[in-house]
Amino acid sequence: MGQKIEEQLSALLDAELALEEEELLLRRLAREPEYRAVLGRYSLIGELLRDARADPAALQIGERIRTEITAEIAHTGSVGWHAGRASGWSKRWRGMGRGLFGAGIAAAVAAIAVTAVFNLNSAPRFEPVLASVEPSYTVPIADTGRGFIMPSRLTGYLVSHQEFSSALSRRAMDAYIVRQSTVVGDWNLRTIAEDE
Amino acid sequence: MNKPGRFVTVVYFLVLIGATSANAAGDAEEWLDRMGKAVQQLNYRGTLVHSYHGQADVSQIVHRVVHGTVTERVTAMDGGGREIIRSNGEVTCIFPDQKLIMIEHQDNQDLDADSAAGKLPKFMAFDESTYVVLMHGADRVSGRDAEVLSVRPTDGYRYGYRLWVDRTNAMLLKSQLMDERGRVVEEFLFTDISFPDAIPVEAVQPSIDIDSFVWERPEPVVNHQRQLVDAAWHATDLPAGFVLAAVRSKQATRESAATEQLVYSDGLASVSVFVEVGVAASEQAEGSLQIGASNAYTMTTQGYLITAVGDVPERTAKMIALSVRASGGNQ
Repeated sequence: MGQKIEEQLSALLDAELALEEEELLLRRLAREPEYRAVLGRYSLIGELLRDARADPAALQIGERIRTEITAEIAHTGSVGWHAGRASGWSKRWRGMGRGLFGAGIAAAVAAIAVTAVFNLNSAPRFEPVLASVEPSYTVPIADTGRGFIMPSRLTGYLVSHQEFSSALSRRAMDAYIVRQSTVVGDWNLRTIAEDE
Repeated sequence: MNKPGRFVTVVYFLVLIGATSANAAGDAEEWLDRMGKAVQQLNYRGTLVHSYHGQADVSQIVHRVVHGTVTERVTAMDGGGREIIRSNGEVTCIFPDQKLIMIEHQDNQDLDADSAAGKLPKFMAFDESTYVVLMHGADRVSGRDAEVLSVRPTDGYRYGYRLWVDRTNAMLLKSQLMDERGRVVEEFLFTDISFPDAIPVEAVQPSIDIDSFVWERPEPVVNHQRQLVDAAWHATDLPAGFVLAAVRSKQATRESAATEQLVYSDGLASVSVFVEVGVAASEQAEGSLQIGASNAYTMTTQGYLITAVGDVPERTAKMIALSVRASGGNQ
């Protein structure tokens, strides 16, 4: 995979691609599972770096990734070209998305991310009440370590609601149901009192 | 130019601007109407890329219409090739990775393309106070000429849309869902699409051998379409423009309690509220779930499980769910 396509994938995540470039890239994504896999990895890495909502383990992972990247920048200067225009961690991540792929950082970050996901999956974690229900059928199991298994009840709700939803909404729910690994949601269980 | 002359010129341009604006709005509504029908009534097959939150999923869509009857197959191109097939009033979800088939019944066994489209929210049925429709001119998507339109919400309780509509047949080629700040939160794009005159029936049948799969069929249900005034429950707090559009109850067995479904719609977005009684304590929950850009919010109150699901922001699903009350003060 060339550096240009890697940069484009990064820009896609940052919503910085020009319209025509985006369309071309999405077309390539449709043809190339390898690109989709890479996009997923970049997304995961970005999520880990950004996600302040994550549990302490995830925050530690983010810190490790930051450390790796900082060390790599100091060592190779490979991402220095964007330092002038970036400020704050999110900007750095954005720039990193472009710069790291030609360097050894990618491997390090990917390794950390994979290890992190493994650890998150194997570590004890909060299980939502619904996850303990044995569903008669299930839609995709989350692979983010958040551990949510959608119950049959909600699947039935989605199908029932689709009858009354717009074509666009139906497509979105279809995409969710057929996704191999659902990573778009987890139940954020909380009491109403806590919200108020 | 003298004063009367200047006045006439100003009035002329104001009238011209008004007429142009009215024409543009009329054109936009016409495009939206045509698009709603095309999505349902055309034969088409294509590759659909769904981008959301830094992910891209690819599906093959085959949409077959014969004498007005719609059959559709959606196949994921990644992983184990999960499929959804809509046919004869049933939605069949096939999960090869779990060797599992799940079937859900839909209301009308003999829905045709027109009536199915009529049941869905239409892109022109909304109130002007809740959405503004704009036309943005021509563009090209996947090698096809398209008109670009946007539907912008006037508050934060619903999403906006940017739509690329095929200039030839009004098919929706690309769509972006936007939050209240105009940021794209979800995108669909047909990277290739064709419109055959006829699609063979095999193209909408399961593409994999499902002989050894476990079939999960819910118990036969009785759907009762009901009058709106007969709703046993209602939401007391709704965003502007949302009204009760449908009520029905589903009953798995004669002995079991019915699940009531209330459908609220602003003409474009819709939210279903499900109310169930007799749900085991272990199955009761409080919280929110994001499904793509759609959201669900569930809560339990006095033994009733109340869940709002819809193509709306989380705040809207939550607002509606929290305001559900029994009609007649039973609860």
